[in-house]
Amino acid sequence: MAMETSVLARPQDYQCGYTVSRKSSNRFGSPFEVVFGSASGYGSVHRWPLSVGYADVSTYRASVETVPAVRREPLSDAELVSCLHERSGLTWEQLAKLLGVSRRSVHMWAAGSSVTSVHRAVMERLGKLLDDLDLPPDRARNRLFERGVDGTTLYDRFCAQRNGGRAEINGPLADAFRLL
Amino acid sequence: MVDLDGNTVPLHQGDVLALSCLPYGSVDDGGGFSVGLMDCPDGVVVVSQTCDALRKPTVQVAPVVRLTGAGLAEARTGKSTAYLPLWIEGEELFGDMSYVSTIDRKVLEACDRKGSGLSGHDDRRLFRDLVSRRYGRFPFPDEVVTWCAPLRDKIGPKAKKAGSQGAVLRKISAIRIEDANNWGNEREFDLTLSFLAEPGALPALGSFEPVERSLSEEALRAQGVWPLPERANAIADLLARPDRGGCTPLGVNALWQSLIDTWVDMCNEAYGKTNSGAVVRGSGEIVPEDEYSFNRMRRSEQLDLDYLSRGVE
Repeated sequence: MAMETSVLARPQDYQCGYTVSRKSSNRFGSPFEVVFGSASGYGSVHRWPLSVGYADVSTYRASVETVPAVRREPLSDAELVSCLHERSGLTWEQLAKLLGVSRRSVHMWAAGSSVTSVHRAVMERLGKLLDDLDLPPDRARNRLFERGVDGTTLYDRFCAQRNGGRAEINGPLADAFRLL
Repeated sequence: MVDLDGNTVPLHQGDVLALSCLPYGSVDDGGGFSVGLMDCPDGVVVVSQTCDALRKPTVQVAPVVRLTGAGLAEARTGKSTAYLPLWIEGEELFGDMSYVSTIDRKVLEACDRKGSGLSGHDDRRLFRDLVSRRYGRFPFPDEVVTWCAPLRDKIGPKAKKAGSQGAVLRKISAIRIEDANNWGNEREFDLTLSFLAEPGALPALGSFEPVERSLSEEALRAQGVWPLPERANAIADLLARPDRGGCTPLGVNALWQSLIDTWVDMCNEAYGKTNSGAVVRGSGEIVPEDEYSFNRMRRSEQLDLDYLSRGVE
């Protein structure tokens, strides 16, 4: 029989980039901990028995009242890049291109090497996009590569806009060509 | 100047011409504007790009100067953007970009050639880059210049010296810098410095493993050394060793990243003591130059440590 719980959260109740864990108990009074947001935590949500599904917000809020121990802290860089990899369903190579870096960089980040603020910001933006999509990995990947009516994909558009969509201000060649 | 067939010899960037003086605008004794002539005993050098020097009615030239002492040393090491090395008559002659003048092309074409220091593509490319550097430098805000001071004064100079940090620094071909606020906020800067490593400096990655397991005990100890300058030395010592401190390829990459983090932390720490009203923080990364995209190149600025706000020349 699938485990039932009195406390669950929907993916949209948290943001990628944060770990939310709290002690709770199932209907039988056995304590357990729910961890959302980290790579493994997110996976556990999606692996949760379908018979349970996601509780609605009111259930979530009610449980928060009865279980006040809520921890909310940023994911580490390594957790975040792994989370993005898992949630997006992309290969490491595809993820690297989406973030505008080399395969080596995402490899290093996932292994625990530090990430610059610019790249962290881009990763958080991707996390927000995946939060908005709210899809399991295989469907998220399909959605990223699905062509819209304008012929572009979400993946392409993210690449084009990942740095805030700002113009390439230091491109004298590009500027010169615009003048021709 | 004409060749044996009587044809005018075309001008090229870097040509040194026997022109004895250049016009120079200045303030006269009465406070008015006057134009005088500046002596150029060693001639002038063509600064204009070759296509322009061949076709345009006017050409920009700089006086050739002979440097000695400290001025010569500064010019040779690239600390001043004013001087263009000419590689003729030894290494003492430079084009002085502080006094560039515009001259009618026909006047220059009539001058005798004293030669060109630009003998090959590499010379021409370096000359072109130095001209660009003079005019194309990004005007970094004062707060950012202050933040960069440890890089400019303590770390950068090691590249020209013996020692492990010097050896490691010489594998870095450029430093690119970006601001998350796109240089739009004068009181807050969130900097990302990309240290571009020469191809081959960072070993290729194969297996996937946590960083901690990729580092030798020696490397882990080096990362914990305090204070920061000593930590930078300890890490650089390992990277300069043939065995790279006994780390796996991923560990060597991580050690490089630790060194960059340490250098950047030195800047963050020093800036934190300045009591400035602005907020400047930085983070850094090591990237093989053959993996740094053109897109990122266009979004970033070259951090020219040799020149960074040296004040009035």
